[in-house]
Amino acid sequence: MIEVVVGALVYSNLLAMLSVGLNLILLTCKVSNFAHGDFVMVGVYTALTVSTILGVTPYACLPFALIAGGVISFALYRVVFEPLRTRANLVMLMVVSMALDIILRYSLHIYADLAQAWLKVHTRLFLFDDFLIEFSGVKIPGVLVFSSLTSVILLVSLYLLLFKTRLGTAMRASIENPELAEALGVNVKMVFGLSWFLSGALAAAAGVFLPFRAMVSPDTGWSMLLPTFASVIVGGVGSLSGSLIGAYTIGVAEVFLTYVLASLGVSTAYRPLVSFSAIITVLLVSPKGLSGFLNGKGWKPWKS
Amino acid sequence: MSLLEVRDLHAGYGRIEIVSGVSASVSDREILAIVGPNGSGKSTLLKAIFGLCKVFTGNVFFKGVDVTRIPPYRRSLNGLVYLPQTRNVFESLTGRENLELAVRDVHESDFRKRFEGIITFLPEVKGLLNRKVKTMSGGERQMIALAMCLMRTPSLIMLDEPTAALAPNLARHVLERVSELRDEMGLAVVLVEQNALTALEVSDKALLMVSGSTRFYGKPQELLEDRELVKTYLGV
Ligand SMILES: Nc1ncnc2c1ncn2[C@@H]1O[C@H](COP(=O)(O)OP(=O)(O)OP(=O)(O)O)[C@@H](O)[C@H]1O
Ligand SMILES: [Mg+2]
Repeated sequence: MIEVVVGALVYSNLLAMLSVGLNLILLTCKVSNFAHGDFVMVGVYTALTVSTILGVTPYACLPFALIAGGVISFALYRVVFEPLRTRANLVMLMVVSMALDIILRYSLHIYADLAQAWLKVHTRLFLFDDFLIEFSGVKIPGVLVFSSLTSVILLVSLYLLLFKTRLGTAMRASIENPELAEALGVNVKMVFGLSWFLSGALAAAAGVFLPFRAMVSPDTGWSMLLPTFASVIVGGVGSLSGSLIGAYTIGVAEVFLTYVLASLGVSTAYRPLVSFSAIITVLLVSPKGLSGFLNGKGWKPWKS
Repeated sequence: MSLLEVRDLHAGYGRIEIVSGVSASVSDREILAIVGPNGSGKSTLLKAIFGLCKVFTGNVFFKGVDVTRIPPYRRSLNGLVYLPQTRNVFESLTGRENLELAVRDVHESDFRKRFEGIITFLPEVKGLLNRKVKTMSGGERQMIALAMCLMRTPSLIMLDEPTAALAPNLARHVLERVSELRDEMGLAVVLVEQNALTALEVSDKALLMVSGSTRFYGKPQELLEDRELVKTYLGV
């Protein structure tokens, strides 16, 4: 049972970083980014590579993963989404992101092949070794401690950036009305580029922790995408704090329902059912997600 | 050379040309009034000058530099300011946040000084600072929008129907203030106005646009004396 709780918390921490980043891109560039899961794998393979070369724990590779994920995400924006921003419609942007997902995924496969030959380690279906950390006699898995710290620190920093700095005000203004922001001297192109960097960095950070809990291969990013979208939709598209709540709702629900089903003898392969059902239910009952539902009831703590 | 010079500009959206070959110039301490029927391309001309729509051919010079191909935010940083006709305030922010956003790049002390200046110029703004723009009336929003532009202390300000949502006496007050901007602060102004007659009274140059082209360009008095043009296009 303890194991299930740890699993649910770690998984939710990762979903939180993923869904806030996915939602940020929906806010700034209106892209439902299907390549978002691949940024997770960029984080995974950066951690694997750097930790093998330097002989350190993958946790220590977090800064490298942040940079790698951020830079690749920023590059996608500059090369593909920036030129399309004022020209393409929502469906086109989504289809383009699906194509990019395939391209990134196969690039990761190629990288995995090369790295296997070069680093002499398994690059598919591997796990990272964890260790226990002792707090006044209680032993806690390192991944729970580090993923919680990382997601709290990164998300609080993002909040401070958005709401307490001038750059953040510029970003919020650009989201509401890019033309007017530009007229007032905001370099909207760069501000949106920054949002891609942040989104990719957050996803790659999640990637550092994923192999501590699950065996991964370059396709794993795709399976992270569905619960991430579910978290965003449950929390409400456009509400970053909503995504946070959505992530913990989906994360905990998925892990516990799978646990219950498994104890009844049902296969755990049905796990994605939770996310799919959540998406459909929320869209039918309250299309703006939980935050829309609660705001409609006069309670407004979750304004993006 | 003039502060702003537009040479044979052809501009529009996508492949559609809306503005066809307009030329004009504005010097320091000058007001250019742009008038014309609805849909004649006045707003599109301003957008083209600011770089927010597609320019097919022609050039825009600002302070002697060809700015036709540089991004809009750099024109703004160079001292050109544009007040759009619609959606010209940030609704999710308060009045104060809107003003602060307009001058992110200046120091706190400078901000205060400019702020005092704005309050004496547009006293109505004072009561609006702590309200969300979402809750403001059309006229109140227009006040905030105008204040936001002036906070940037531009050398040239392009106003697209700044008086559209204002009560008639307030509209006149704002237009008179616009001429004060010119006389006291040495500002150059490009003014698009529905109140054509009042606008022409305070301006130094006039451009009459009809279906995207120049129908008249010259002294406002001459335009006002041309009974035919006034009757056909300005509806008076
Ligand atoms: N974003 C756009 N995309 C395509 N066509 C546009 C766009 N904006 C305006 N137009 C077209 O350009 C033409 C000129 O519009 P514009 O807004 O420049 O006129 P205007 O002179 O400012 O009119 P008004 O006095 O009503 O403000 C119109 O026919 C309009 O349909
Ligand atoms: Mg107009």
